[in-house]
Amino acid sequence: MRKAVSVLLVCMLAAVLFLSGCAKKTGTTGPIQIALQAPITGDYAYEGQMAKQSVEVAVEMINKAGGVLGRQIEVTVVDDASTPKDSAIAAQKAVSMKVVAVIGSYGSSVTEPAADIYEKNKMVSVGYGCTAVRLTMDKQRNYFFRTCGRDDAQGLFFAKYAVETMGAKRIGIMHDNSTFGKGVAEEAKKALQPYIDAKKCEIVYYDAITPGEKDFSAAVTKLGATKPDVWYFTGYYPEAGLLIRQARDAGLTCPFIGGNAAVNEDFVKIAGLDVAKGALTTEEPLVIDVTTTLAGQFRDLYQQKFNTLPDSPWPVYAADALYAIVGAIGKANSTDADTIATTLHTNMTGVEGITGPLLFTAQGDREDVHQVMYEVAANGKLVLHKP
Amino acid sequence: MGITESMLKRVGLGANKPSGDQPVTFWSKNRGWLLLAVTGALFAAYPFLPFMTDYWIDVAFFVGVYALLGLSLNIVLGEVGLFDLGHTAFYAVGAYVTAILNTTLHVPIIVLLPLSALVAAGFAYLVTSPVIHLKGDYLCIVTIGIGEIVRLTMTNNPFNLTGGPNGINGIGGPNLFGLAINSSTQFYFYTWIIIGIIIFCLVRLQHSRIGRAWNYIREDETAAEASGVDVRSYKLLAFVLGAALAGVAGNIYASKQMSVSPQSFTFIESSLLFCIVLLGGLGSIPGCILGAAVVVVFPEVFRQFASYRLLFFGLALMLMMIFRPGGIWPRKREGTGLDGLGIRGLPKKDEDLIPLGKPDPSILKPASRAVVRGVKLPPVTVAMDEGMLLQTHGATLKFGGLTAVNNFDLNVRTGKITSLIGPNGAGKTTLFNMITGIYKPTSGQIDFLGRDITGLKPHTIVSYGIARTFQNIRLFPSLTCIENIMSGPHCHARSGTWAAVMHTIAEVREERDIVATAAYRLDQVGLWKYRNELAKNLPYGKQRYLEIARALATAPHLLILDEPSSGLNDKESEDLMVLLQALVKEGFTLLLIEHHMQVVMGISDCIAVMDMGQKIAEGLPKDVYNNQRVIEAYLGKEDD
Repeated sequence: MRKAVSVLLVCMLAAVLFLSGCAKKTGTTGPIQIALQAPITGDYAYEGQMAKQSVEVAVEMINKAGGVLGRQIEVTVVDDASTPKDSAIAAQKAVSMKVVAVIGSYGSSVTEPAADIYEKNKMVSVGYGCTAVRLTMDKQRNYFFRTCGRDDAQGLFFAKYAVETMGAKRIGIMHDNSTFGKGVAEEAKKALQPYIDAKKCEIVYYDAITPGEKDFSAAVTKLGATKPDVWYFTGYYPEAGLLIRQARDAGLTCPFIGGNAAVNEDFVKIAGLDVAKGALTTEEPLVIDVTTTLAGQFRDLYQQKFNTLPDSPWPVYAADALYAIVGAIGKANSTDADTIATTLHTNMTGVEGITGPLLFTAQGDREDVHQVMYEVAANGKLVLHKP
Repeated sequence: MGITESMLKRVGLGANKPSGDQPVTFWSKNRGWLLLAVTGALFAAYPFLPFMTDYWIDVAFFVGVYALLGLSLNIVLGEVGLFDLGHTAFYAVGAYVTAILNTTLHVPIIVLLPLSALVAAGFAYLVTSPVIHLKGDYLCIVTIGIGEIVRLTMTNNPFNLTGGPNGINGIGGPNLFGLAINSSTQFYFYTWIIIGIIIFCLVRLQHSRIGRAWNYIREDETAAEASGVDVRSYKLLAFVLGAALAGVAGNIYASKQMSVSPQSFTFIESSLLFCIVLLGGLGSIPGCILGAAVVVVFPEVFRQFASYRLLFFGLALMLMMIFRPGGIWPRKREGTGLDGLGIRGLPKKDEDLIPLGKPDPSILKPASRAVVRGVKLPPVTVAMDEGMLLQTHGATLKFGGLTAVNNFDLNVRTGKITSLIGPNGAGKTTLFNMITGIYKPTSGQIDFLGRDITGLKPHTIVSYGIARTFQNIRLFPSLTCIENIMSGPHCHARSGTWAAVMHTIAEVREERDIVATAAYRLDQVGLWKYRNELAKNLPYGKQRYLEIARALATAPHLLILDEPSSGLNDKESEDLMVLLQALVKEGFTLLLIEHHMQVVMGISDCIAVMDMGQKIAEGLPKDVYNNQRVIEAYLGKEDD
């Protein structure tokens, strides 16, 4: 009995090994193979599953429209379980499958080792949920791109929105000295400089609070004395909730804008709905709030296939990564990795994704990532801000 | 016998000794070598197999990393039996030390390899030494805490060192004297060569007094301490060595990934390591490697089932545990013969070992006790009464409000048999436990051989020359009889980790002495033919003798036996009396707790009677036998 079971197990193992050895390779004809590296299992399985579904929808849309170079697109999923170790193995798997390019992955520290492996093997990879600045800024990678914005991209969006849309003249910026919070604040400051030079606004307050503290009255008083038109806080929600409560109690009424780590359900709980109502936040949009034509088609097909819509912004960036890769292949008229990479870097004008134009900087970062301003509605949910 | 072959034999790969009529074929003679050669060739050829991709080479690399981690946890969990569910902490420390020092100070990775091991080992010493006395589940909970604290500390980015949740990137690769290791194949060989070296050391350690001491602790901590094993130090040593190996794994991992982040060191990772050791078989080195292979390769094989992947993986693990509950490749102790002990230079025939172990009679002379095989005792400081070997003065032990032993003066005369009798619950065993160091007396003093031994640790007292057996037999059940007895001479041996790994001349000689002493004592109690049997398979009566032999092997002056005849029939009791009298003739002093009056009256030179923690009589057997108070204590007072 035992022997029989062991033999059976070994046979099963051998069969599966054999099957897994038969990877589909991209030739000069037949479908173009692309891999999606995503956390299908593990801590962020929910994100991974949605990314998989979004990419499936995008594949269908592209193939219905005739594919690229007259060929269809086929996507294989490799699971990285959201751990760095599995990510490295998954990346090797994608490399050994000899795909044309890879979409992935979610999470910066998971993407890091994979990006190194893709770089070493000269394979284009386009991240969709990895926002750490250092991924593109710490070392030059020629084959790595991302369709999501960097952590600090919202600083740029804030500057534009506060001055051009809200017409703010006196701007207060507060951060918490964390890498993330300070990064966003610095980016906002940098993006405001042209407006300051043009005498359209000024920064009246720029300072940090200490995370973990409970009493921010000193900071709030100092901020209030500068009479700001808007107040941008780039730290995390525990401090954000206390800050807005204490500021409102002190009679400070200017609009509060949080970074995307500051405003969420817990923020509303900490601050209290009466105070949290009307708070703004700079965020990546949910697909439901994106206005492009592709987004409309995407929503319809997604709804039809899965009877729901992604409730996180990141899966849509995975679909956009596919659009970027396919667009580059079409423009380059080639499936060669170097040519695709060069095209992605320099020649993407006119390539549209679900979240807008897909242009990349020399570092591989997305240019001008589409962001939106959300507002805490009367029921505590986030809705698009209408100025 | 070649070094390699004897090593293979010890891990269970080698040829068994051809017994009797079995012909010696080329195969049976060279099985170990052939298997090693084939394994080596397979490992070397693996990356060059046709259709091999970097993917499968990387999978094999990660099998290596996890095998290393499995081996490191195996020291703690498999050899010593300590539940460590936070082992990833040491792995993380190794990885982060490598990452931080390489990216900030640009220390080469190859220099950081031993340094990571050292830092991880030092860290393990710091965090485990305050909690090492905890048993079982309690230690388990604490180790979970250690694992989580380390991970959270890394996440919280103290002093901007660890890079927070995103970790550290830009770590370089190892450079071996000009040869840069960066391709998958290079990393594969680099890792497996390191593992090969480590396995070589571990096999040697496993088969030294250190490895055996770890196993004694796993089998029965109290018995190990009572046989002279310094339990605390050996547990700490296991943690420190285990952490050092985990540190090495961390270094390899960090340099291969070129980045580290706290996500790699979660609790799940620790439980995976636990899984590797259990799957492979506790204490089994080849088992660890197979366990690692299962844990890493299975999820890869099932990768295409996407979300069902872990389901299949779990199912496969369950099936394995059902069909092989002892692990895939459990360590086999029986059936390998004395060769399985891995001691060099043993005589061709096992029987020739027995006379080698005959002790030098001079070690039983009190004067010569000052040095037994290099172990120095402190100088004589206490004046004892003429002819006395052991004396307790007013020994008292209170458990809260209950006085278990009250002001007891016990006198044990050199070279005689002293018996301690008394009704159940009189406190006899408690007094024994005070003498042997298990309990510390509340007040009073215990003198032995002119030294005050009050409150010393049990293993120290054993080395002074007091050995004991237990009322309910305490053996090391899953070890062979000869290994059980080899715990006796342990406390007189000196060889440490380094000597065990290097097989120094002194270490080899010491090991030979240990096994010879054990063989002599095993033969003395008539259990020689059971030498390769597991202790738990012996019948009850024989287990008693085995325990006595183990105590004798510590070369004691005083042998304390706690109810040696309980559970024996009349014939067996008579045999026991013969043995005990032979021991006295050999020069041992005996102290017994005994209920069997025939035994007590037959062989005792002096009897002390205890009731309610107090001495009620002392003297020659016939005097005590007729003492009114003794009769009252046993039978109750007659009504007037």
